[in-house]
Amino acid sequence: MVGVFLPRLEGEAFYGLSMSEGQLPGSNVLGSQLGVGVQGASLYRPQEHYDAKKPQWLRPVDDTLPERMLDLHVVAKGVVCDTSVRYVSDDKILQESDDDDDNDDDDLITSDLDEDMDDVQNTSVVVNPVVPVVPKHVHFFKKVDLDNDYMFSVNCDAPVSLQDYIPSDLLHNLNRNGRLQRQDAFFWDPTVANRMDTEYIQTASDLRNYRDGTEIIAYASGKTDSVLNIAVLARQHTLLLNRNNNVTSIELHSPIKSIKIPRASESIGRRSNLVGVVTENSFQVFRIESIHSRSCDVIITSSEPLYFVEIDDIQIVDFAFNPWDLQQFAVIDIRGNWNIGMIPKKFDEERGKLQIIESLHGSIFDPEELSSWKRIEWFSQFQKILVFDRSKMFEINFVNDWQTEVVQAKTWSSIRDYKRIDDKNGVLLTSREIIIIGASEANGPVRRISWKHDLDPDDTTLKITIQKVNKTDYLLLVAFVYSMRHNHVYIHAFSQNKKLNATPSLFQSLGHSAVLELSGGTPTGIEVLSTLDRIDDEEGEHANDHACFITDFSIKLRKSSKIYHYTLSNIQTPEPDEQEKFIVTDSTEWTWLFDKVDSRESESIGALTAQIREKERKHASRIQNLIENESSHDEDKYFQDLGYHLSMATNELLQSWQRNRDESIRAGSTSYSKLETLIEDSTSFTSIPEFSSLLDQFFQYYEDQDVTFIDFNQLLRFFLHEDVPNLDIFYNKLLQCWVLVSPQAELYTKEIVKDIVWSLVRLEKPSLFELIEKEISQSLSKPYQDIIDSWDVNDLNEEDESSDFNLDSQFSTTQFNDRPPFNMSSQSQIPTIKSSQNNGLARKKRILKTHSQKSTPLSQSSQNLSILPDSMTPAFTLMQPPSSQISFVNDSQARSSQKAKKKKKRIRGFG
Amino acid sequence: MFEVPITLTNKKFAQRRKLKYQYINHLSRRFDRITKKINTTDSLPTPENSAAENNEEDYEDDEEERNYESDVGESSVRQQTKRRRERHWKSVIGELYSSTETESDSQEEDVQEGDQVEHETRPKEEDTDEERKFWKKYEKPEKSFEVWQTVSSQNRSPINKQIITYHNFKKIEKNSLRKMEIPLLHCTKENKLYFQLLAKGLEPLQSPTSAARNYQTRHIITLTNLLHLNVSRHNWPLAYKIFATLIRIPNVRIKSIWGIGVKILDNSPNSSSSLDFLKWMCQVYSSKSRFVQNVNYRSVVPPFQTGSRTHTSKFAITYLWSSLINCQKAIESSNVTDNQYEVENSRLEELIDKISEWVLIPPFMEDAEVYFIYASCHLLKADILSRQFVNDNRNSDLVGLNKDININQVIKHIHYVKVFLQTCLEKGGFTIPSRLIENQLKSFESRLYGEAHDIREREMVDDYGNTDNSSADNSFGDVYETNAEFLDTQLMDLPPIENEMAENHYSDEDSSE
Repeated sequence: MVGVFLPRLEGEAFYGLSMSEGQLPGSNVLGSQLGVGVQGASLYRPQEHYDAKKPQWLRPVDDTLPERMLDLHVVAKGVVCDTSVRYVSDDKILQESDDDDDNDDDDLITSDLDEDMDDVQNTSVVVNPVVPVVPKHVHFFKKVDLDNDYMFSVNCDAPVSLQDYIPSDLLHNLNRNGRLQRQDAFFWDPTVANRMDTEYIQTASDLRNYRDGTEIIAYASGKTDSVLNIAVLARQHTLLLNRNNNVTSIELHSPIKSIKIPRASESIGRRSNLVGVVTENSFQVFRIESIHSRSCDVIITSSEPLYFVEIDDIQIVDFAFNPWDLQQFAVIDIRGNWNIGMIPKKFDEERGKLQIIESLHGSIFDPEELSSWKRIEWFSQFQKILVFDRSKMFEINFVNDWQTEVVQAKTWSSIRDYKRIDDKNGVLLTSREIIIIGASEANGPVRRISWKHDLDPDDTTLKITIQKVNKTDYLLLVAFVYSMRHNHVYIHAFSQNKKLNATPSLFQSLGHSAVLELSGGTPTGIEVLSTLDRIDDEEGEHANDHACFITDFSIKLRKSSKIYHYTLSNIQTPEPDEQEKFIVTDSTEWTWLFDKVDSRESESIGALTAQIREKERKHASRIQNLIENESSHDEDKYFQDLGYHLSMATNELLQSWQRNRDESIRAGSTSYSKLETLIEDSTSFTSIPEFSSLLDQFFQYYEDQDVTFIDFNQLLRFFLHEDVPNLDIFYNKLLQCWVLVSPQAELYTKEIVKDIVWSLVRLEKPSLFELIEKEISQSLSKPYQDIIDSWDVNDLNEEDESSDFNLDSQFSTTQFNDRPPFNMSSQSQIPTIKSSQNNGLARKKRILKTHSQKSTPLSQSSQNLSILPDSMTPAFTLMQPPSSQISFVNDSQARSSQKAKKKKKRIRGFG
Repeated sequence: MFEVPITLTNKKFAQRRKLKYQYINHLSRRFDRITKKINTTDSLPTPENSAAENNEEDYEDDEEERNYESDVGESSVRQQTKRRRERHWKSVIGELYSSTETESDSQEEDVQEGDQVEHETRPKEEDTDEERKFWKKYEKPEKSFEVWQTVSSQNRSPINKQIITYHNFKKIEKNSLRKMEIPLLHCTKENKLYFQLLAKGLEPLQSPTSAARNYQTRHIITLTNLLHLNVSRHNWPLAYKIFATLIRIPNVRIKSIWGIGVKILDNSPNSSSSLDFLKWMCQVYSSKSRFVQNVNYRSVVPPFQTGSRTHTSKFAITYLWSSLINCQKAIESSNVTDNQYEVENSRLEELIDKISEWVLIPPFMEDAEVYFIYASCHLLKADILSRQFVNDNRNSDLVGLNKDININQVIKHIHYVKVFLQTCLEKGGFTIPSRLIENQLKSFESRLYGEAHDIREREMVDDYGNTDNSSADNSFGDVYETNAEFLDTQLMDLPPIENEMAENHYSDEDSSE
C-alpha cells in the first residue's frame, strides 16, 4: 500500500526538505560573495530521476535564467516633464485668457472713447453732459504697451518670489575671485539626495473606492529649486504628465534638498499619501487629500514646516516614514543625530505641527566622519530602524532601547546608498559591492548575497535604485546603479525563485551585469533615477516566456531640466511598431514636432517614415543578398557557365542576323545588341579580374569572327577623366573614392562596375552592312561618291568597314596612337592596323559620317553613354562631365529610364 | 567609470590624505575629551575617575605642545600608557570602538606589538603618519570589505542618547581647524580648497581616476572601461584581446581583474582554459604569509584579491568549485561505458587527491568551505557509484564480489562525506543545509539494497518531525540510528556526542509518531 504512493511521497519529501533548508551553503556572516567570474559555495542536489531536466546544482548564480537576460535595450523614451517649464493647467489658462478678454474690453472702451472724441471733435458745438469732463493734459492713446513687469503684477494666490535673491556678500565674493564656481565642479553636496520621486499613492477616496492608486511625480523646480511640484502621471506607452498638464506648484522659499514619497508596507494593505520634503532650513510633510479624476487637480494640505532651529539647528539630511504606521517618521541630521516623530492626523491650523518624540532619539555621531551624508530607513519591524553614515550601519531598536553596529566600513570600502526593498529585505550599495541584506529569523540584518560591481571605488556619487519585476516563477530585483559622473547605468539583477525554494531568503544573482548608456546631451551624469513598481502585471503577452521582462524608470540628468522616462526590455526582436514609436519619440525635437501636428499631417509624416523605412529595408536586404553572394559562390564554375552561355547566345544572335539581315537593317533596328540582353544572371560573381579576363577572351574570339565590340575601356575614361587601361584598375579607382563613404563600399563598387560593363558592351557584325552600304553609296550623286571612294584609296579594307559605323573605334584609334594599352590580349592587332591612319582624315570622316549615317551610330553612342545617370556625377566631385556627354544623357533618359531608375536608387545610398 | 587595476598615487593625493587624517584624528581626540567630561560629570566621581581625568588633561596639553613643537624622541613609554588608557576609556564609554572586551584586549596587544616594532625601526614617523594612526584603530577584515556582525544579544548596546549639539560640534571643529592652520600653510591652493570643502561635509566629485593625466594611466583606464563594457555586452573575442593587452602592461594587478579573466576564458572556445588560468593564479599568487593588521594595504585590498595564512583566496575557492562543477557536468554528459567517462572520473579522483593535500596546509586546513567542497566531491562520487545500482540492475558485473566491492566503495564515500561535513561544522562560521545532505546520503545507501521501502517510510516521518530544527544544531549520523539494522554506515564509530544527540533525536521521533 505504501509502495503505491511512494513516488509522490518521494517528490514531496524532496520539496519539503528544500522548503525547510533551501538555502545556499555559505559563510554565516557574509553569505555568498560573488563577482564577475567568481564562484560561490554551491550545493549538489542528486536526483532520483535523471531524465528530468532539473539543475543539479543549487548555485548562488541562478543558472535557470539565460545568460543574456540583462541585454536590455531602450524600447521607448519620452519626456515626462521639464522642470524649467512652469506648467499651467487648462483652467488657469482659461483664467488668464479671461484676463486677456478684459484687456480686449479695455481696448474696446478706449476705442469707444476715441470715437466719442471724434464725435466731440466733429460736433464741437453740441455739449454732451454725459461724457465726463476730461482734463486737457490727458491724452488718449489707441493702444498702450504696458510693460508687463512682474513688479507691477499682483499675484495674490500665485507662488511668489520666483525671482532670485542673491545676498550681496555672495555677489561680492563672486566678483572678487572666481573660485566659488570652480568648487562646484570639484565637489558635490551629499545633503542633496533626490529632487524627484515617482510613486503610487492612495488617497482616502481611493481607499474607499478600492482604487489601486495613482502614479504621481514630485519634483523640485525653479531657479533655486525651491518650488515643489506635484502632478499626476498618465501611462500610455511611456509615462507622461496628465492630459491637462496640471501641475500643482508650491513655493517653499528655500532650496529643496530632498523629496521622498514613502512606500508603505504591503501588510497594511494601503499606500501612503504623503510627500516629505527637506529644504535648506526645514522639514515639511505634505498630504495629498484628493485627486480630481478628470482635471487631475491635486489637493494638498501641508504640515507646518519643522524648522531646524527648533531641533538644535543642525540640518536634517534624510528622513523616513514608518511603513507600518503612516503617522510616524524618523529624521537624521548631518551629524548623525536621529529622532522619531509623529505626523498629526490632520493638518489643521492648531494641530499641523510635526512632533518630535522626546524620548526617542539618539546619535551615531562619529568625529571621524566628515561627510554630511547620512541615511535613515526602517528595517524589518516597526520598531527597528537602520541608520547609516559613510562608514557604519547601525541597527537600532528604539522601543527596546538597543543598537548594534552591524557594518563597519572603515577600511576597504565605504557605504554609498541603501534602498529598502520590502519588509524583509533591503539592498546596500558600497563602493565595491551590491549587497542584499535580509532579515534573519531573529529579525536582525544579515548579509545574504553580494555582487562585486567593479565600479570606481572612489566615486562618491554612486546611488542605487531597485525595481521589482514580478514573474510567475520568480521575482527579479533589477538594481540600477548610477553616478553623477557619467551617463551610464550599471544594471545587475537578483532573482528570487518562487517555486523551487520557498525560503524567502534565497536570492540568486544573475551572474553578470549590463551597462546601459543613456544617449543624448552632454555626458554630465545622472542626478536621480526613480522607478515605479507596477501594480498591474501587464506583461500578459510575454508571461509564458519566463526570461523576458520589461522595466522602466524615470530619470533626471544633471544640468538638464528635463525628466525622461525610459522603458527597457530584453526581448530580442522588438515588434516593428514598437521600433517605429522609438524612432518617433527618439529625440525631444521629434516629440515636440509630433505633438504639434494635426492628424492629417501626422498621417503624411507617418507615410513618409514608412517610405523611408521601406527603402531602408530593401537596401538592407539587398546588402544581405550581396554578402551572401560574396560568400556562397563557386566562382570558377560560374565563370565557365557564364562564358559558355554568353558564346552560345552570341552565336545564336549572329545566326539570326545572318538569316534576316536585310529586313532588319532596312528597318533600322537590331543590327547591334547589348551583351546584357543575351544572358540572364549576369551579375552574381565577385572577382572583377576574372570577369575582365573572361571578357577579353570573349572579345578576342569573336573579333576573329568579324564581330566588333565597343571598346568600353575608352568609355570608362569618361567616368574618371583619366586613362583606364582595364576594368580591374577602373574598379580599384572607384573603390578608392568610395571606401570612405560606406563600409560596404566594396560591394557597391562591384555592383556598379558590373552594371556599367554589362550595359556598355555591345556587339555588331560589320559585314552585314556591306550590302546596304553599297546601295547607299550608289544612290549618292557623283561628287559624294568620289569623296567616299577617296577614303578607300588610302585605307585598308578593315578600316573601311569599321569607319562606317563605329564612332568609338575612332576614339580607340586616336587613343592607341598616343599610348598603347597595357593589356594587349584582344586589341593587340587593331593598333598595328590602324596606326597608319591620319588624324586629320579621321576627323573629317567623323564629320561626314555624322551627316550621312545619322541613325545608327549616334543613337548607339548615346545609348552607350546613357547608362551614366546624372545623379552619379556628384559622386566624383573632381570631374566635370563634358558637355557633349550631358546632352547625350539627356537624350537617352527616356529610352533607358528603367535602367537609370534602378541605378539611381542604389546610388542614393551614397548621398 | 570602473575600478582601475593599478594604484593611483601622486603627491597631490598623498597630501590630501594626510590633511584629512590629521584633521580626523584631531577631531576624534577633541570629541573624546568632551564626551569624557560629560560622562564624568554624569557618573559618580570615583577616585580612579578623577585621577584619570587629571592625568588626561595633563597628557592632552602635553601632547598639544608636542604637536606644535614636534619633539618626539623621549616620550614613547608615556605615550603607550596614554594610548592604553584612551583605549580603555573608549571601551568603557559608548562601546563605539570595539564591541567585546576580549577583542579590544587583543587589539591593544596588537597595537603594542606594532608600536614596539615601529619604535625600533623608525621612531620618528610614528607621530607624523596620521593615516597609519587612524587605520590602526580599526580591524581590517580579510574576507569582506567591511566588518560585518550578526546581531546577537552580546553585541547589543543601549542606544547612544548623547546627541552631538551644534555648540559642542562647533567647539570641536573650531579647535581642530585651528590646529590645521599650520599644515595648511604648506599646501597647494587646490589642496587647501579641497580640505576646506571636505571639512564642510561636502564630498569630492572627482576621483584620482578622473584626474589622471599621465598617458599610460589614461591608457589603462580606457582599457579597463572597455574591458568591462565588452564583458557586459558578451563581446568575448574583443574582451579577450583587451584583457590580454591589459595584463601585459607593467604595474597592472592581475589580482584585481582575475574574475573577468575567468569569465572571458569561460566563454572562449577552449573550455578548460579558465581552469588552467585559475590553477596558475593559485600557484603564483597564493600567499601563506600572515596577514598583518598594522599594514595599511592601501593598494591591495585583501578580499577577492589575495590570500594569507588565515584567509583562503577567492580564486582558490573559485578554482575548486569550478573544477568540481565541471567534473560533474562532464560525467553527467558522458556515458558510463564511455572512454570519456573514465577520463572524467579520473579527473574527479585527481581533484579529491588535490584537496586532500591542500587541507593539510594553511589556510585551507582551517577553512570550512574547503572541507565542504571536499565533502561535496565525495557526495558526487557516492552518487555516481550508487546510481549504478539503480540504473543498471541488469549489469552483469554487479554480482557477487564486484557488487560487494562497489557497495563498500559507496559506503566509504558516504562515510567521508559525513566526516568532512562534520569537520566543516567544527571549523564553524559556515551554514550547510545538513539535513538535506543527510537525506541524500540515505537515499544513496538505500539504492544499494534495492527495495528499502521501510527505510524511506521512516525517513518521511523523520523529515516532518524535524523540519523546524535549525541546521546548525544537527550533527551527522543521528538519523541513521533509526535504521541501524539496515544500513552499514551505522556500524562505524561515531563520537560520543553524536550518540547523545541521536538519543535525543530518537525520543523526539517517538513523540512525533
